[in-house]
Amino acid sequence: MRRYITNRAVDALLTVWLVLTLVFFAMRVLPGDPAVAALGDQASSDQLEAFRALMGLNDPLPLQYVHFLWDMLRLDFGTSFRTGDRIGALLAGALPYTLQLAFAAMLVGAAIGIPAGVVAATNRGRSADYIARLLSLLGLCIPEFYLGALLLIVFALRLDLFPIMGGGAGFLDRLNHLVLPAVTLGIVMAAFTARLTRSSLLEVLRRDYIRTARARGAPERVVVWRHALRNALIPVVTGFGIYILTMLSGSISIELVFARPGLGTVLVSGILARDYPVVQAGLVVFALCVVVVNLTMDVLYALIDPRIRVEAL
Amino acid sequence: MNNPLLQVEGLTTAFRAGGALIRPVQDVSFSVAQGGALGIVGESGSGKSVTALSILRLLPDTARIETGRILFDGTDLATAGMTSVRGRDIGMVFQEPMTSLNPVLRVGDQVAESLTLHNICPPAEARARAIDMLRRVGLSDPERRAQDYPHQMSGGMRQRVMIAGALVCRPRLLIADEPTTALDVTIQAQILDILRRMRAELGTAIVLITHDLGVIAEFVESVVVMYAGRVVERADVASLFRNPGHPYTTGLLRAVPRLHDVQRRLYQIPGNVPPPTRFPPGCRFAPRCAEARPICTEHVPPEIALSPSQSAACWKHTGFARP
Repeated sequence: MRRYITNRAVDALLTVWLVLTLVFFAMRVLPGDPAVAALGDQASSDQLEAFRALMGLNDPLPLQYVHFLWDMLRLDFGTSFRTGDRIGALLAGALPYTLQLAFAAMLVGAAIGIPAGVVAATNRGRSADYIARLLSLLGLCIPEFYLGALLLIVFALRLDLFPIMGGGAGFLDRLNHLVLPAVTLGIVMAAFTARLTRSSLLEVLRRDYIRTARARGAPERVVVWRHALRNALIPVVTGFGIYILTMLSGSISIELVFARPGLGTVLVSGILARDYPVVQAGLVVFALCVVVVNLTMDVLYALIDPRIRVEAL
Repeated sequence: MNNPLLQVEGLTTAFRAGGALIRPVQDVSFSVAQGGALGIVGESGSGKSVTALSILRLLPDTARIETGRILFDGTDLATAGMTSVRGRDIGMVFQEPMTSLNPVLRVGDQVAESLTLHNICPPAEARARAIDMLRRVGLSDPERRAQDYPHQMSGGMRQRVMIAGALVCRPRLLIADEPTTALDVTIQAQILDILRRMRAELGTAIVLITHDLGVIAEFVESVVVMYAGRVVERADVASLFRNPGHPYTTGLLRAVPRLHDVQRRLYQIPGNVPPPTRFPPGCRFAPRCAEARPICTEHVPPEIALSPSQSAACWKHTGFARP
């Protein structure tokens, strides 16, 4: 187990390095002069040259690359062109909002999706199955930003149950601000999870060891929850991993809808303002999130399925 | 003592297949004495496994028992709550040890499961009893092996685990469906040895389902021969081998390889068991039978008693005339 996790962690670090390299070169080949973007069209060529020298943009590329890696290693993301703020602090302030949203949405998705999938699978062909499948299809069809706006209109504007925008201050207020966006993303995730759980469980319930469990006298409840579900969850966890990744990008639109001061909002405003260092740092942090999620999923697999601990070294 | 432990009477099991209804098991009857050993023998497709699954009602959703009674110790299993009988009174071992254990649960917990499911003892004692059972089926270092997962074991070891799990509640009946078919020959002998020893130690009656007459010869007292979903012959094991009453049994016996006549080409019964969708009328073996007469393809032969311990469903015992 320890060796398995170590191997996965080494893979993850390697991925981070590749991502950093990719971001570095992508930022360099993009059209547009960062100095012009930072100082504006009105800046003189002396000013532009001074800025380039200050930012190290005249250094040879390999040297810039080493500097870049060294900065990233120290988590030094530089300063924003636009505001002059430290980007590290900017992201550290925004990241919790995004992570909380993703985590809460995942909880909502799992809490609704897994039981719904089990109910559908164990009632296959009956009305409960059709209702669950219909609802999940609906959930998959609705675009997140539309669902978010819908919930916002009904629960925040009409019923006045939740705040309309912002991230909140203090634990309870933050939680209150989290509900609608988390439910929005969670519903889509639940729809996805329910379908995956249903098909996976139906597949597992046909296996020989399920018959063995029944032959030992296990009632249906034990057969499903103890014997079948754990095996059925392996593809569901894979789905979670993939879904969280799409959700991280999905959270950009949701953060805009709910005006949450999260990573997505920072990234989008950075792009709009051509604030290169912010965009660069935002991309790196997003990529880091993806790597961390993948690593977590790998560890989760191993916890669920003992075979992976040896096979997938 | 004269009361049989298990009595199957006129069992017919039907499957929905496409739009049609097929009956892979039709009008099957047999009984097993307390502590006895019965063999059910026949080729693939003869309905042996469906018979076994019918007894414990482990049939897939598309199947149901159409007619017949299954009496266990005098009670009709159709009316009893099956979950209380399975694992506690009747244990079952399946053909495929590689896939019959849950890959995500430790084998010790799987062996102990029947004990905790039926509230026979508290979990700690169940664990101890499971380890004891693993030792009895010949697993070395059972305390440590109980912590293993199935993928860490070989097929033979997994089948031992299956047997331990089926016997841990000391059921009065064990149904073993081709328990050695998927295993190497040397392992087969060991598994049969374990079953024999367990039967002696625990007094468990056994229904052994196999296509291997060699296994039948050394393991059971009485035999039911099935062909295409029907019982064609029932006999004590000595009579069956000495004087088979049905041409199908004769064919099966001739198809067993013998040590002395290695020169001769091994006998094969011509043709195959028909699928349940195309069971012929009359005697179902008639199309493959060298002794068949016109009556055989028209009328289902009745079971004719040849001796107190042997009967066969074949028209030749009535001189090919309807009684």
